[in-house]
Amino acid sequence: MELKDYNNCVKEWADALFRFACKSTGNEEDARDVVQNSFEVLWQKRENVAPAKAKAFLFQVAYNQSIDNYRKQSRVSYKEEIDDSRSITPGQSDLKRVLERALTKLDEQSRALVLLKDYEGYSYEEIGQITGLNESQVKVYLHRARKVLKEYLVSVENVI
Amino acid sequence: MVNLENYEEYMMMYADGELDEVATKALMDFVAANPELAKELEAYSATKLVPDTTMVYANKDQLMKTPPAGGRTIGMRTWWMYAAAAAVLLFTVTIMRKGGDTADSPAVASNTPTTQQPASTPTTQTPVTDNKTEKDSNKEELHSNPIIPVNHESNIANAKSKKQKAKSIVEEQPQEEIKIAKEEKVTPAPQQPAYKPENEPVQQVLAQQTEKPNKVEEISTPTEETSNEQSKPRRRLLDLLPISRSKKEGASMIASAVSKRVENVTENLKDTDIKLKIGNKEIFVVKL
Repeated sequence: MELKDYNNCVKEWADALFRFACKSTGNEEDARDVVQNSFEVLWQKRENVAPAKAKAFLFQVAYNQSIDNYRKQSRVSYKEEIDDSRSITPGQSDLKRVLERALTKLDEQSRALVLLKDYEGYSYEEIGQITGLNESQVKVYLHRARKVLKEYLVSVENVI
Repeated sequence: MVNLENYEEYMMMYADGELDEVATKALMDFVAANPELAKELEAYSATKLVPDTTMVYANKDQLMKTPPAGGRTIGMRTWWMYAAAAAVLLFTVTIMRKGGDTADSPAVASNTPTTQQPASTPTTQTPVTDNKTEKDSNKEELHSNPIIPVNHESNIANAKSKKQKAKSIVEEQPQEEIKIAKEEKVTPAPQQPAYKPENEPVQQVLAQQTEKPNKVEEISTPTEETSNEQSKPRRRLLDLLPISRSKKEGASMIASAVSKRVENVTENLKDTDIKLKIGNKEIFVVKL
C-alpha cells in the first residue's frame, strides 16, 4: 500500500470506522483513540496490506481494540453517553431511538457483529474474517442478537 | 423450504440480507400463507440498523501522512553527517601525512651530502640524481625514469634501504651496483653459480648479494648523519608541543637513544644471513 492509498483510506473509511467505534465502545473519546490506533497500525503494516483489504484490516483492528476497551472499562452507561447528543438528533424516528437503546442490551461482541452487518454490509464470511469467528458462529451470534433486538422492539409498545 | 420450524431463521437471514432471490420469494410466499407472521417479519426487518451519517471523524488531516518532506530532511541530515565525517577524516589524514613528510625529510636532507662527496664521472652522476628522486618518491621515479629494469632494481634497493632506515643515503657506488644488478638481469649468465637463477626472486637475491660488500662500506659513514637527521624532525614536532623546554629536551634525548638502539639492531641484522634448510639440503641463503 502506498501513501496515496493510505490517505484515500483515511478519507474513505475514517467516518465509518469512527461510527463503528462509537457504537462499539459507547464513548466518543475512546472511539477517537480506536480510530487513531487503527490507522496507525495500518500505516505501520502498509507494506503487507493491499489497498483492497485495507477496510477489513481497519475494522479488524478497531473491533479488537473496541472489545478490549469495552471489557476493560465495562461502560454500562454506554447508551446515555452516546445516543442522545449525536446519533439521536431531533426529528429522528422513535424506532431509531429505541433501536439504539436496544443495542445496549447486547454484549459487546454481538453488538459489533450487528454493526458490521448493518453499518458496513459485510457478509457472514467477511465478518468471520474480521472477528476471527467462523461463519457458523457469526450466523448464530447474529441471529441471537437479532432476536434480542426484535424482542426489545416488540416489548416496547407504541414502537411497532 | 420455509416452514414453521425454520421460518424464523429465514426472517433473520432476510434481515441480514443474506437470502437470495429464490429464498426471499419462498419466505414471502410463506408469510403470505401465514399472515400472523407478517408482524414478526416486520419486527425482524426493523432490527436492521441504519448508520448515522452525521457522525463523522473530525480531524482526518491528523490521520493523513505526508512523509516526502520528512524523508528529504532525513536524507540531508544523513548526507551532512557523512560529509562531516569525511571532512574530519580528511583533516586527520592530512595532519598525519604532514607529520609523515617531516619524518621522511631526513632522507631528503641526507641526500644533500652526497653532492658534497667526491665528484665522480658525469656518467655516474646522472643516475645518482635519478636515484635521489627514486628515494623520495617511488611513483614519481617510475614516470621519470624510462628504463624499467633500473626502476625495478632501484625499488628493491629502496625497500632494502627502508628496512635499514638510516641507510637510505644514496651514493655513486650503490648506483653503480644497481647498474650491475641490471646488467645481470639482462644477461642471465649467473655470476654465482652456487644459486640457480630459476626465477626473479633468486635473481634479486643475487643482485642484493652483489650490492652487499659495497653497501657495508658506504653505510658506516652516514649512520651518524642519519641519526642526527632522524632526531631533527622529532625535535621539530616536539617544538610544536605545549610542554616545557626541559621536557622537550628529555623527550628528544629519549628519541635519539631509541634511534641509536634501532641502528644497532640494524647493524646486527646486517651481518646476519637467513638460510632455509630442509634436512641437510640448503635451499637458499639470504644475506642481509
